[in-house]
Parts: sequence; structure tokens; C-alpha cells
Amino acid sequence: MDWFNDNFIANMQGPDFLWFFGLCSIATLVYCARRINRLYSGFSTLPRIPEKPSPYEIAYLRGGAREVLWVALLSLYQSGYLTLAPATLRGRVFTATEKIPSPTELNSIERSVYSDFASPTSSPNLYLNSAMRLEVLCHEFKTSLQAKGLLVTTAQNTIRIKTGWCAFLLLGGLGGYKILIALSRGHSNIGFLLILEALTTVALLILCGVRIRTPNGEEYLKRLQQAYSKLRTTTTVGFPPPTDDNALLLAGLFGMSVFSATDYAPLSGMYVASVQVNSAGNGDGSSCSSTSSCGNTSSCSGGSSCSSGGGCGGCSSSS
Amino acid sequence: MSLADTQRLIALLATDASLRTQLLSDPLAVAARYGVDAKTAQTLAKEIAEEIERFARSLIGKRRNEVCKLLPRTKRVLGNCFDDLFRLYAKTTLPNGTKKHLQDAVQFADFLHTKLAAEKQIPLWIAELARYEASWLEVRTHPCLLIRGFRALTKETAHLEANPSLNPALRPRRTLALWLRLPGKERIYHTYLTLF
Amino acid sequence: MNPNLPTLGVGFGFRAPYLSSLFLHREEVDFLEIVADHYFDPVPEKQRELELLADHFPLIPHGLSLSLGSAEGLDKNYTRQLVSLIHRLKPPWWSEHLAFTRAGGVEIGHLTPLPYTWEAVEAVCKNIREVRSQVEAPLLLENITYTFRLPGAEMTESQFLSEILEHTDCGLLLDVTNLYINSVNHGFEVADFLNAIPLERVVQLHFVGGEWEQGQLIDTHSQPTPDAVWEVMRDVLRRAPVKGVILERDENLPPFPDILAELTRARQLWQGVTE
Repeated sequence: MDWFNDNFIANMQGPDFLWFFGLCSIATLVYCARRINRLYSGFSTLPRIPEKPSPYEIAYLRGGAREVLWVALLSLYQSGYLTLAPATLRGRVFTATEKIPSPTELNSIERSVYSDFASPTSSPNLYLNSAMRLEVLCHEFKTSLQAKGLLVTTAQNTIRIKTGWCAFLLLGGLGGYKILIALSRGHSNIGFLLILEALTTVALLILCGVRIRTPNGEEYLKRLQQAYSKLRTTTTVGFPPPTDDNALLLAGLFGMSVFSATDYAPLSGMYVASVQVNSAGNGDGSSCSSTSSCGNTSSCSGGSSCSSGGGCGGCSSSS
Repeated sequence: MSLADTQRLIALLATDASLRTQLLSDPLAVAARYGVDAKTAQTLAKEIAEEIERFARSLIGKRRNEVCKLLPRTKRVLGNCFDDLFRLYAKTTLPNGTKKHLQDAVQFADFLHTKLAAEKQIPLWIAELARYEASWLEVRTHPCLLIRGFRALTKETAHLEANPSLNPALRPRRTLALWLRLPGKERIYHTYLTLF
Repeated sequence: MNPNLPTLGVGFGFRAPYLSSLFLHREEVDFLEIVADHYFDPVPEKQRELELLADHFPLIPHGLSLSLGSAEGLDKNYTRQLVSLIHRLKPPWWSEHLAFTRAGGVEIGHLTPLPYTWEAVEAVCKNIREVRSQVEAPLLLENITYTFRLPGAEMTESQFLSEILEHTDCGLLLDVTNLYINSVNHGFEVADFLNAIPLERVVQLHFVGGEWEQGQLIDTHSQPTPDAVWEVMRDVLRRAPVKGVILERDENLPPFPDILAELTRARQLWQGVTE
């Protein structure tokens, strides 16, 4: 008996196999999801927001060393150690001012960034290279955030990838085998199976792909952004600007693009440009406010929060 | 008079201006209508009618303050007229439930549109703006797909918001607006399209 | 009344515009009072806000529309939502008003005074017993302001309050601003009122400033606390075993440093009288 061509799966009718494959896919995806969830099972509660949150650590959580770099650039710009050189055809670059910082005035991250940006250069890889150098200095943030279960560790990502590959090989093998058998028997109606295979592959990529933040990390970042969301009004035209400390916090939480309508607009523009040139990884969290549209032609202002009604105070009777 | 009857009468007096007027002019009629003893009705009319009137006005003031916060763009373009129009609306409508201020805002926007704009007492574009703001409130409260047709919601109205004293004859433009909020999600997807 | 309630300190009634400022100055706020109605059937953003606050501060839910004074009984839907919120938050206590907000199918929309009669005492006690059968956390009753007093009173306000507190074993959320406002508008002495109520049942205080209008003081919750109210608070803090003090600013919200300044003054006042 030819075990390869004559078995339960090979002999299954097309529609029956589609059902079978569908069930196998669901079971495999559920297994993968549970396996991956177990990776983070040691961290059931979110850490509390610190009383003095570090803009650098928050930036690292949100977008790695690249975001830490920009918080440092903003800090150096605020302190007057860096300024913007006159615009050229290649855009704007940072340059040092006459004010030279003493070694104790800057932290290690700021010192590294200052040394990279003090001399004006329009090297397209400047931001990328500077961020790579900062990874070493940000190791402390990485370790701390991983210990709190907010960043995915290398080992966890390895397990994710391995789980995904195993599931892919299993389902891909099963589907591929059936396609082979069908073609060898002269059947060409394999379209639905190919679609199912593609959908399953996409689902596996989403489920088992490499992540930067754990689910707790995503939730914690959203929580931080919500806690300090009202600071964003200070970046709106017509409102008092943010204090220096609050500006660093905003940069860490939301990225430099939040300053597009403020005095930091040139830096904001440079940030956006550097992200486009050097885009890598899945970077920051939501760039849209939590209740407004991310769409297109809308006039988003719908008024103020709708759930915060009044208290129990009285009201004057005159209007 | 039982506590329940007293409370019912106070609740009605606090929310019904015509009843307050009637209490002052004819307390015995009010007594007969609401099963209240004549002496109580006369005492209410004589001793605390003015305070109840003040209380009633403050209730409307409180409602108006909350609706102002929920419909800030409408408040801005209506200016001082907002208060008068709200008082007109509040005479006939009373919200209830745990989200009464929200309900008030939505019903007020509807009042501006179905009554005042229809009778040409306010420009249509202002009523449409109120409806537009109220639509945002509705979709924020309950996840849903909301599709609304407007007759005067275009880029021109943004200009008018900045200069509400202008009141040109706007050519009505049919606009379709869509909002989508999925259950459990905060993000609202919104777009609108001016058709013709 | 449970004598072992924790001392929470000084805080304010949470208002959403202050969210970020609150987190920037967490060490200066001991606890928060939240308006319970704002978190019924909440949108995801408000749900997250509640979880965020609950994870970082002791929260005291403060109801607005339970209408404990309603002769027709409690609204089942409102009660269910309030009880659910309290169970979720597990607060050391919660509070509502000695008033009614609903009658004969009409939602008045504001706290309305009760007649000071035995029938009203009985109605309030019955409603309190009903809600307390569903909630273990202690209930505090708050005194309200009133622009009118219903005829047919069989007792004074202080007697009315005392009877209900004793019958139900509830604590008292003494709103010193409301007390002061009523004393001004209705011509009685604050000291007489304080001497007539069971001060040992005072658990929490509310304070804030109001506005004058047409010769009457209104509890608009929109102004800084006036000196006269601070004096009332000083007297109460000296005499009563207060566990928490809340600034109840609702309207005309000032910059957050102004809120902190009032909290600091309340804290210093409290420390001053207990030393």
C-alpha cells in the first residue's frame, strides 16, 4: 500500500478537508495564543506610574533608543547647548552654541548626544548611528522595563518565533501535502485551500511576530499617555506653553510630533523627517488622540468629554 | 398631605413654569388638581413660591452650564442667544437617567434643528453644527455606526464659525457624515463627504 | 458606625481636566472623591480613567441621584449601578445626600430638601436599609443647602439629621460650606447646629466657596473657600474625629496650584488643631 498517496488525509474530499484544515488552523492558533500568553503570566498587575516619571525611560518603552535620542536633543536645545543651524537645501541640522556644558550638568545620554550633534552635519545616518550608540546607555532602561514585564525579552521573542514557525510548518505542511495530492490526482480546485493557508499565515504573523512591548507594556504605555494626556493642551495654539520638564515628558510620551504647533515646531519637523528616513521597527504608540479620528476629511472637534457631568453644587439662577 | 404627594408636587413645581404661575394665581385649583389640601397649597403659594421659582431657575441654569460644555462650538456661535434658546427648550423637555446632561445636549441640538431652524428662527448652518456636535456625543457614549445627512455642513461653515456675525445665504449642500466606534474601543473613525 | 475607619487625609473631588496635574503632584493629594454617576456604564476612556485613579489613590464614590429621601423608594437601575461601582472599588466608605432628586416620575435634576417630618425620617431610613443590605461599605450622609424649607416641619434640620444618623448608624459627611450657606441664608448660628448634631459621627468634610446672588449665598462650588468657612472647618476638626477632608471645586476651575494651595491650608489647619 502506498502510504503517501493512500491515507485518511489524502483520501478526504475537498470540502471535508477544508473543514478539517480550518479546525486544525483554529486549534493551532489557539494553542499558539495560549503558549504566548503564558510567556507573560508572571506579570498580572501593571506597575504603578512613578511619582517622578523619567521621560527617557518612557521614550525607550515607546520607541527604543531612537526616541530617547530626541528627548535628549530637546533637553539640550531647551538648556541652550544646542541650537539649529541656518536651514540649507538638505534641511536643518543641530549645532552647538557658545554655551558649553560641564561634565556634571548632563547625564550620560545627553553627553553622548551632545558629542554627536555639536558639530553640524547633515549625514543621513546621523540619527540612526547616534541611536545605535545610545542602545548601550539605555541598557539600564531595557533591563528595568523587562524586569517589570513591559518589554519583551530576546528569549520571549525567540519562543514567539519558534512557536510561529512550528505552527506554520505544521499547517503549511498539511495544506501543502493536500495540494500536492490534489494536483497529482488531476484536481485543480485548490483556490479555497490557498486562501485559507494565506489567512492562517497572516494570523500567525500577527500572533507570533516579534514584539517590542508585552501586552502589559502596551497597557502601561497607554496608561501613562492617559495620565498625562491633559498636558497636550499645552502644545495647542492659544494655550500657555509647557514647562521644560513637562515638554520632556510630552516628548517621551508622544514623540516630538506633538510640538508641531509650538516653538519647538522646527524640531518636530526634523523628528518627522528623521523617522521617515530611518524608519525601522514599530516605534511609538498611537499617534492619534484616543477619541478622535485618524481619518482624513473630518473636522474632528466634537466638543468636550461627554461623560463628565456636573457635581452636586448649586447653580446661580441668572443666566 | 403625604410625603409622596408633597414630593410629587415639589418636583412638578420645580420643573413646570406654568404650574408655578398657576399656583400663584389660583392655589386652590392646583390643590384640587393634585390632591393637595387647600391650606398646603396656599401656604406654598404664600411662603415659598419665590424660592421655588429661584430653585427652578437654578435647575435650568445648571442644565444649561452642562450643555454648554458638551456643545462648545454651538455655544460659541450662538453667543448670548444660547441661554435664551436653551430656556425655551428647557420649558418643555426634562431629561432623565444617569446620563441626563448628555441627553439634554442631544435633545437640545434636535430642538434647534427640528423646531427653530425649521421655523427659520436660527440659520440652518447653526442647527446643523449643533446636530454635528451632538452626533459626536452619541458615538462617544455608545459604540455604533452612525450615518447622518446634513444640509449645511461644509468648509464654509468653518469660516462662519470664526465669524458668526456673518449670515450669508448659504447654498444648501447635501453632506453625508459617518462615524464608527467599535465596541470596547476608544478610537472613532469619522469622515464626511459633500455630495451636491 | 465603624470606629476603625482609616484616616485618609486631604484630597479633592476629582475633575477630569486635572488628571495630568494630579499625577504630576501625586504626593500632595491623599485621596480622591469621584462622582459615582460619571462612571456608570462608562465609555472605554472613562473606564480606563477609573482604573488608573483606583490603582493610584484611595477613591471615595459620591452619589448624586440615589434620592435617599424619595417616598416612592429607590430607583432600581441607579441603585444597581451604584452598588456595582462600590463593589468594584471597595472603598473605606461611600456617600450620598440627605435629599431627594426624583418624585412622581419627574427627575428634578438637583438635590431637593426634605420636609423635617417623622414620615420623611422613616422614608429615608427605609431607603438606607435597602441600599445597605446590598453594600457592606459604610455610608455617609451629606447635608445639603436649601433655598426653601417645606412647611409642616416637626423638628429642626439638626434634629432631623441626628434622628436619621442614629436610626441608621450612618456616618456624616459634613459639608461645612453648605452649613455656612444655610446659616447665612436662613439666619441661624453654625455653633448651635454643631452643638445639636452627633459630631462623633462626622467622618468626612466637604469645603469650597460659593457666590452671592440677589442677596443669597449659592453653593456654586466655583470660588476659593472663604475665611468664614475655614473657621467652621477649624471648629469641626477640633471637635470631631474626622477621617478625610475634600475640596469640592466643580466650576470655574482654577490652575491646579490653587487647588493644591487650598489642600495645603486644610492640611495645616488639621495638623494645627490636632497638635
